[in-house]
Amino acid sequence: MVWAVLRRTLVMAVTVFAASVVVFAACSALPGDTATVLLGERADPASVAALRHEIGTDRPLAVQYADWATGMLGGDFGTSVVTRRPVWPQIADRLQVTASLVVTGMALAVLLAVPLGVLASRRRIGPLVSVFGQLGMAVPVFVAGILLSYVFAVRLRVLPAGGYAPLGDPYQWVRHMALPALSLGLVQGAVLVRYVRGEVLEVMEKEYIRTALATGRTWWGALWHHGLRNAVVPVLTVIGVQFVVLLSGAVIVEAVFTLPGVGQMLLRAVEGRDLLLVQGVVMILIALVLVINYLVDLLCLAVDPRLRRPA
Amino acid sequence: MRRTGFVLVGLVVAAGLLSLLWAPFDPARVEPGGALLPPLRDGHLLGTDGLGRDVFSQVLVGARATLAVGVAAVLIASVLGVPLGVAAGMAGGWPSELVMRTTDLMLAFPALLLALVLAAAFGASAVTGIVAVGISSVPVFARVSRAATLQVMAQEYVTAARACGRRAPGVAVRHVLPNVAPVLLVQATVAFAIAVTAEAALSYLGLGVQAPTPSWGRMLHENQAYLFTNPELVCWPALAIGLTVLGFNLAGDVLADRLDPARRARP
Repeated sequence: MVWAVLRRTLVMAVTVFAASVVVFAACSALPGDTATVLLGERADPASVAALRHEIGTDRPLAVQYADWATGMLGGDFGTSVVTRRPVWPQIADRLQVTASLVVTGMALAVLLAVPLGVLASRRRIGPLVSVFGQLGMAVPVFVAGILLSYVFAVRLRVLPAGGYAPLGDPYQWVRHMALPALSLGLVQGAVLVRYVRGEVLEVMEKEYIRTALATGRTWWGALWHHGLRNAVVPVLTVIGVQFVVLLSGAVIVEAVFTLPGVGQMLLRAVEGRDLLLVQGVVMILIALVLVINYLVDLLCLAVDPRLRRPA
Repeated sequence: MRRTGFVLVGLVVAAGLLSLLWAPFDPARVEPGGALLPPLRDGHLLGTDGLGRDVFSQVLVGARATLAVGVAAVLIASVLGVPLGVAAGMAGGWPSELVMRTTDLMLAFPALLLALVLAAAFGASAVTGIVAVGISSVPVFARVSRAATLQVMAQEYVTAARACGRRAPGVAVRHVLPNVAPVLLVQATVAFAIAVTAEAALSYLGLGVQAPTPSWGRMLHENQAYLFTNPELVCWPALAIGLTVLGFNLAGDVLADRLDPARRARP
């Protein structure tokens, strides 16, 4: 068990490191030297060189990377050259918004997909669920968002069409979060429901379930006591893989509902060609993806003892 | 029912081709006097948007951008991903492991973030969008072709070809690629559907096809401002995106069933 956890931790750490090298290399290799962008193409070379020296882009790349990476470990993501403000505080404020969106979206998706998927494997609503699944794959999350805001904000006038209220005011927070989270949750839930149904169908054909049924357990009893634990690992893995999709979805949903999250900040940073800010945010988001997948891995270990054996 | 997917795909392709020859109006022509006309007024089949542009023509011409991005992205992904996957599958050992770990890492990078980084460096354009969507589909193509290659390599005819002295490149071209192709066709269909969604999302965020070239994603963004007064304006591009993605997904399902008899038996 300890060995399995250690191995996964090591792999995660190496992957995060590799990702940071890739993000840094990509952002450094791209054209658009920050000093030239700030001062313009026709600036005099001496002042460009001076600015380069001031922001440190005249140093060797390896030194710049080491500086950026060690800073990040201490929570210092550097200072944006464009806005002259440190990067981390700007991100921290907005991460709360994006995090609430992602968490509530995922929670809704699971709450929707698990019961529906189980029911669909039992009753004759299979075709209905596969229609829901196809719809979820065909309707991009921002289209779902626009349609939901049409129904609930324009027609029914029960929920706001955009904006955000901090967690301190729970009632308003729920009202503002409902539609964005629902757009994410519906689309993700539609993807998940297919996996849940398929997994339950497969598990319930196993021999140990046949034995359980033969000893007098009901279908639901067999599912609850023997099936779920076996069906949950592949579904958890899919949830981990889908987290990337969910995160991109959140960035877009923020644009639909004008939520002041990380995505909106990223877009503004791209407009302002603020490469360091983009670099920092991208790094955080990718690290988040990797850490979530790592946690999902650990969760699978906790659920399924067979995975703990060294490979 | 089986044909629905192919019919939808055919419709989109037909719309894109038709728009090259004819559209009722210039989709980029702004006419402030004729803004927000209802459908069927003054020859505007679906009415006009907030700037007086013909909505039907925009939807028609928008199919072009969608198809172009889809084709380009699938091409980039297969040109980079397939050789990588086939080579990894044939070589085995550490090259295979390296490709797998690299694709693992690439899968953690969402297309959207890649597009944002590219747009921050080069400025947003259709090209940065295509490159981002294409690159982010590379790992999937690499993995699928590696898995399929492993299956082919276990066949006796490959052993026979090798025993007859055919070298690895010959085996790859004569035996592996033709047998991997059908699986890749299915993958390409699915990747196309994903590319359409990604293009729409990027254009919606202003990171894809730039004005005045019409694109469904940007139409959604522009027309969302009229959600309270003219909600039908949002419907047309939303329908176009949804039906296109549905079409490619359904077509992919049918192709996958044809190729895999085991899947056909499943309920």
